[in-house]
Amino acid sequence: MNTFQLAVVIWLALLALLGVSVGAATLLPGAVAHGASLLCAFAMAALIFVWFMGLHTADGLLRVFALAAVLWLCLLMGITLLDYIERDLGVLQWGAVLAKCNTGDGASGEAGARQPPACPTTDRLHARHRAGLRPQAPSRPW
Amino acid sequence: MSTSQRTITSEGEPDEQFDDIGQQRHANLMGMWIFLATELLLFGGMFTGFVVYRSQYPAAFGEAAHHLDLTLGAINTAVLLTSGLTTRLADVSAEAGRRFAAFWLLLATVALGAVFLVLKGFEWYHEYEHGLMPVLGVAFEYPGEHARGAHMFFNFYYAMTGLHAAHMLVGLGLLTVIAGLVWRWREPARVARQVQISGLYWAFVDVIWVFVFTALYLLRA
Repeated sequence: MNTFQLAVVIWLALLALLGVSVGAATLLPGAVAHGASLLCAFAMAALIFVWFMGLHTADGLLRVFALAAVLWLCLLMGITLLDYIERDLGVLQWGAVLAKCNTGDGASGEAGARQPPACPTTDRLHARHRAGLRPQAPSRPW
Repeated sequence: MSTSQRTITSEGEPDEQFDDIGQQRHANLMGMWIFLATELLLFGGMFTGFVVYRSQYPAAFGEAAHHLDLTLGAINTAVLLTSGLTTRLADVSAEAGRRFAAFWLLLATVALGAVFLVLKGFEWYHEYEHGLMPVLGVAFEYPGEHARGAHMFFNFYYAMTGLHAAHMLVGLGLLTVIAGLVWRWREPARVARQVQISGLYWAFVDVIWVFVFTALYLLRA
């Protein structure tokens, strides 16, 4: 297959992936559609990077630069999202701490004994926990 | 055209700061990729912001995405992917010393890029007519129940598509100049390298659009 034919095949593959992603977004249910669309987007980007931008013939150093750019983006997004994921995990941990306090498991603490986690005393948190709500759930009016 | 045909990007005398033409080609490509990495950081910050807000307000963003024209967005994506093909073919043609093929393929790229921008402008106007343009003091009239979240979604929409369109305009200007250089064909080896470098920029703009399209149009509720 010569270079022209290969470029046309890559283009057809890109259009096919576009069709799959649009079809998935309109036909499949939410999370599955999102996953399929994102997979198609990454596949399209990979095809363009490798074949249309010449990474398949580039030397090692150039490939390292290209990968480093993508890696940096992953770090940027990953560390930012970790903050938000950690907040959600923190909400779950608060729930566990409050449950211990309410049953008395975590409130006591004799001298020399292993100290339990500090029990939050904020009335609002206790009230939310008794109501079965997430203690730190932000209000989202929209 | 086969890959065994002669290529001209390795011909000619290097500029004085380079030892040989191979080193110059490598520096050209490396410089462009570093520039594209900085561009990725520019768009990356915006995408990160979008991902954070998309995860915080999934219902509002998912509902707001339904108010975009998916058909027009998909057509525009196909147009841009096709322009990526013509750029790649122009690169291959210039490298093989096929001046007129490279010239017309570059013009086709410019034409497809212009079609993309016209369709995008039409889409923006359509959204303006429906009160979905919360910029420049224009009243935002959202018909759904998550108006505040949708307001944020459309802010992202115009920022992301606007920044991408600005890059398209730069790319169109660049490719027009390169097409002129191909037409003159004074230093074929240098011109072929310029086609290759500018083609990298255009392909990068394609990649950015693929993710803009996916994030805004396809991540529906």
